[in-house]
Amino acid sequence: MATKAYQRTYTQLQAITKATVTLNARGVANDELATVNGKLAQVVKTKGDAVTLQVFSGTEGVPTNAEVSFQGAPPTLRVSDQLSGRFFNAYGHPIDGGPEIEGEEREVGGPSVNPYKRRQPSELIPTGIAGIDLNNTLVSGQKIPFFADPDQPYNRVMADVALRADVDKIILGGMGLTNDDYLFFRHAFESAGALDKIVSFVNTTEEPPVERLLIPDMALAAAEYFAVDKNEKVLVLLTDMTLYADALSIVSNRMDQIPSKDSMPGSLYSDLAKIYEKAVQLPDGGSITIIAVTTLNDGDITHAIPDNTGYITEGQLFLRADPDSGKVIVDPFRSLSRLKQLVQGKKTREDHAQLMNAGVRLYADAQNAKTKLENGFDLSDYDLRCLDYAKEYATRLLSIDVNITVEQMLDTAWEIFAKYFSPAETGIKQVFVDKYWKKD
Amino acid sequence: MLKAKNLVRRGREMADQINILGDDGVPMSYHESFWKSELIDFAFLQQDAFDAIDALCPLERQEYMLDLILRICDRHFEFDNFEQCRILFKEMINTLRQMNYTEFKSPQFNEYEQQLSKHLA
Repeated sequence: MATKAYQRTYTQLQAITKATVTLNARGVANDELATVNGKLAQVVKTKGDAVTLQVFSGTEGVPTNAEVSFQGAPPTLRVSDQLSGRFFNAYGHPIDGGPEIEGEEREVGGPSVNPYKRRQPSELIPTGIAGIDLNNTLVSGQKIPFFADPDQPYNRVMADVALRADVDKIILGGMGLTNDDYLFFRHAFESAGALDKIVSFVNTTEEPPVERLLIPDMALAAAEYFAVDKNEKVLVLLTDMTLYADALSIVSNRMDQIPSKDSMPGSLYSDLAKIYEKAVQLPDGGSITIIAVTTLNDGDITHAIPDNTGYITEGQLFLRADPDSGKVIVDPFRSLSRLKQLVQGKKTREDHAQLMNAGVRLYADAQNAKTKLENGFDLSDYDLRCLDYAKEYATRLLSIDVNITVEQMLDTAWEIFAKYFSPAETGIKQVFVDKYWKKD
Repeated sequence: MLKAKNLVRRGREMADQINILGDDGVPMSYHESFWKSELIDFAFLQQDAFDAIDALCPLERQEYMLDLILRICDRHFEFDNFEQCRILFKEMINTLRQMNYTEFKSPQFNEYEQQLSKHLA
């Protein structure tokens, strides 16, 4: 943040809040960076000559006569192949003790790819987790969040998905990670020997929350470099978007903005869309796939954050502890990948969609049987078979610790169906039953 | 159409009764009504938009299928127990679904219809 020649410095603040300062200045643009008393800040509002800056590390200790100098440009990231295998903070500076990156300096947070220049996503992203591949298949260029209670192992699942996915680059955007989570990701990536294809931008809970507002922009700027310039398949992991939105509300509520639902800023939808809409399939093979985490408060999906997220993203993956199998499963009733039909039966075996539907339908029958059991009624033979089926289905297919190919998932499903049901009870198309039904 | 709607509604009521009173706590006719509504639901209301044949279902075919389904619903069945009822209806639902996946009035289609008619005799 070296000072440049002929740079104007202001020394009179009009107002100070916990996260922002306001002063009178001319010729200043939105999103421009500045330093306030040596702390990095960004312009978040201009009205006439009044300029409001969010000070990333907070305004504690900033006097009313603090020196403010504007840098004339929004945040930037230096991009080159040197990014690979490195860990950065929210400002794009290395935190792994390595040297600064040399390369082209690019503005972050710019517009996403023109829809006209996109292709429809059509490449399967296999994860080995049947709850995802079988029931909610992921497609490259898709944007999809995990909805999970804070006690679910979502970071572990996401690391598994990232390391198994057949992609060229993985970009981690960690917002408000605990130090344990940070070390977990670092360790997971290092021990998988995959560090050279991973770029990480990390803001931990020890750092100021407002800083994490820069993380998605940084991560996606790096992703765009690899996807657009290098035609690479890029997977972006964003965890945890709830903490990102919380940071947004800290800034907006400290200004004179009227809060919207759940004390979130009224611009929440646009703020989230700006991030998620960067997901893209490019015609030359490059793609950006975004997998995010939105933690829920007590499973409340009506909260403003998951609610708005759900309108933007292409489905959601719901993690749930299943007491019957003792596993954490991908809930088939509440999870949905809206792009799955673009690959199911096309990039996977022909029987995929039918098996998926039958599997979930029978699992729903098991839920009815369970309700019956809880209400104290006798169970029929079919109910009992459903309950046994549900347990095996959850253990062998829905559980997040499954790691098999899609083909194996389909074979497992056929095997479980044959064990508990007759072909007629599954209602699967006869040609597939004739071809794949496991006869003892 | 209205008739089918009423059958589905009645089936819903029967399902509620079965949930409250249990499988053994209701007369056999309740089970029959419930499964007739399931039949309409699975074989007529549900459409597989990802199946090349079921995705395109012309009016003529819809009428034909609804007529067939309502003829089944008009029939009164005799069962010894509700398991028997479930098995028969599951069987018919499956056959009707297979018809939905098959070219209209093709030999295969007619064969499935033949299978159904033995339940209707």
